[in-house]
Amino acid sequence: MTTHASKSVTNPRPVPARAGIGLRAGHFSAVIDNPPDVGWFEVHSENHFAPAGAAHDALEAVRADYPLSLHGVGLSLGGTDPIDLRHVERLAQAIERYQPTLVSEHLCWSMAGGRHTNDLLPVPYTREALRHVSRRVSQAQELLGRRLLIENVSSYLQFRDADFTEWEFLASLAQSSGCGILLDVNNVYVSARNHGFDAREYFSALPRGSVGEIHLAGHSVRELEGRTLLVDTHDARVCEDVWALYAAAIARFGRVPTLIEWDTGLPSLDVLVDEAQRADHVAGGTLAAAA
Amino acid sequence: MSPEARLLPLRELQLRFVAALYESSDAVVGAQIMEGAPSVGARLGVYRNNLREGFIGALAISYPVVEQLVGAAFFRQTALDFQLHHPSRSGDLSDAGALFPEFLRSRYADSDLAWLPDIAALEWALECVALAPEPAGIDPSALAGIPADRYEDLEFTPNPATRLVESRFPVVRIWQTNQPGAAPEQVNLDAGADHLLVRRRGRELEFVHLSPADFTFARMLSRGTTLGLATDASLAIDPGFDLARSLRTLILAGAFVRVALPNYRRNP
Repeated sequence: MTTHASKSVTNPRPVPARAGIGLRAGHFSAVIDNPPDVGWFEVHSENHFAPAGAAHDALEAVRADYPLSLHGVGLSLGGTDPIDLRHVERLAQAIERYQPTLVSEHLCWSMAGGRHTNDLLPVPYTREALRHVSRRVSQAQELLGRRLLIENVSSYLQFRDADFTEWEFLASLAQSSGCGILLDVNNVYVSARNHGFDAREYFSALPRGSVGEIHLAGHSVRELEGRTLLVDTHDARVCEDVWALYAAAIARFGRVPTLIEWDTGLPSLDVLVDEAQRADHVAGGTLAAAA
Repeated sequence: MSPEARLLPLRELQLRFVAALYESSDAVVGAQIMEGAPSVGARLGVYRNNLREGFIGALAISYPVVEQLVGAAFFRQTALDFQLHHPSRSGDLSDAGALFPEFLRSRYADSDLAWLPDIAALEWALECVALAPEPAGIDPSALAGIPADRYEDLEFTPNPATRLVESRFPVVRIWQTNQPGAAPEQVNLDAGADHLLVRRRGRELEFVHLSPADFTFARMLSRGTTLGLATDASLAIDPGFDLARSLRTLILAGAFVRVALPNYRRNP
């Protein structure tokens, strides 16, 4: 096991522009037995809070060979309960233990009145919420001593009386808190379809240098009351529309580190590697065409 | 709500939204959400489904043997009842099952399923032990140099990679016969009680079977009771309790990471 005598001696290796994949428990042994040809790995931070066990052992092995990103799903940065300092401490310990290159959270909230939903709930895009979320992101960045990337989520409803669009809110949040943006292209697509906005308008509102990572994933199409609602299930290959949007995102933001996510009904590792190779192909082709 | 009323303040909106999900009531928050097809109720239903399925799934990961023993449908309903009484309090959903054994005990302690809470307690102990740091235990020489007349004041710190579990049922046997690949076997519930120290050594999880008196001794020491008082309690259970042998058994099992004499100063 690698030990870290001090923070200054270990510089995490940079995440390459090549695509990486999300590492889940179902792939631990496959990845360790046959390290795949992908650029990097990302894990859910909370799955690696414990300093022992199978998840810890797997991550120690993987991070020896690949750059790493910790992606949190539980900090509730948009929430109005006090920030959970125990959760922050466990995240800080995981960061110290695994030395990730990137650390990210979501533009969402998850708990209120002490009851956690463990879901990524949408914030209302109001001036009050922007002030609040900006303070909270700044607070988390100060507590962790590093810049965070904040990811847009898929949403299935919108609150009334918004002062901003989601993209205006996200761009303002990045500017006021100093956070970077983790642009989930599938989430933009899902929300654009659910709420009827133009995904390309979303991209053009985000400053070019603000996007530090891109996510790609599959979603589900549900029929509810005779109407279509897209749900962010991470249980399928990236759809053709999202690949087209990904090319548009690369054209605007450059060769940003890109991640393939899959959480439900995990297929064989080969499928994720294949998706990552397609992402590299799309990104390379887009930039070659622009050159 | 009248059409001109504005969106609620963020705090109130979030409290109502969580109530709408947990209490399955669209009315408390529906007027805050933009209407459209599908309806607000159907849209809230997507989040409500996430809340339920995510919780059930996390609980099933912590309690696979409980689920196997009671069946998927019974497990789902029990998990949802448990969620209403004990909603997740942590951003790490794997914490959510901590109170599940006690919840099952409150329901089934006096029923035909009285063994079920003990199986759950064993599964939770195994999970805690699997994920805990593993500091080195003390060895018997740690007691050398402590004056014999001060032994009764000794205090022990339990090893985080160990847990104590007791049941009047043969829970280890039940657990083992319900592991993946194990041969199906009829377990006689009257086959005897288990008094266990569950521990991790490296990647191996182990059960150390203790006598009832040794178990009481270990539990009291783990809770910070002094050696003298823990010995008295164990002698009350078993007049033949052998302090030296029991202490050696527990220390060699790695039960403790520290032993200390409060307020003790060695003479120069």
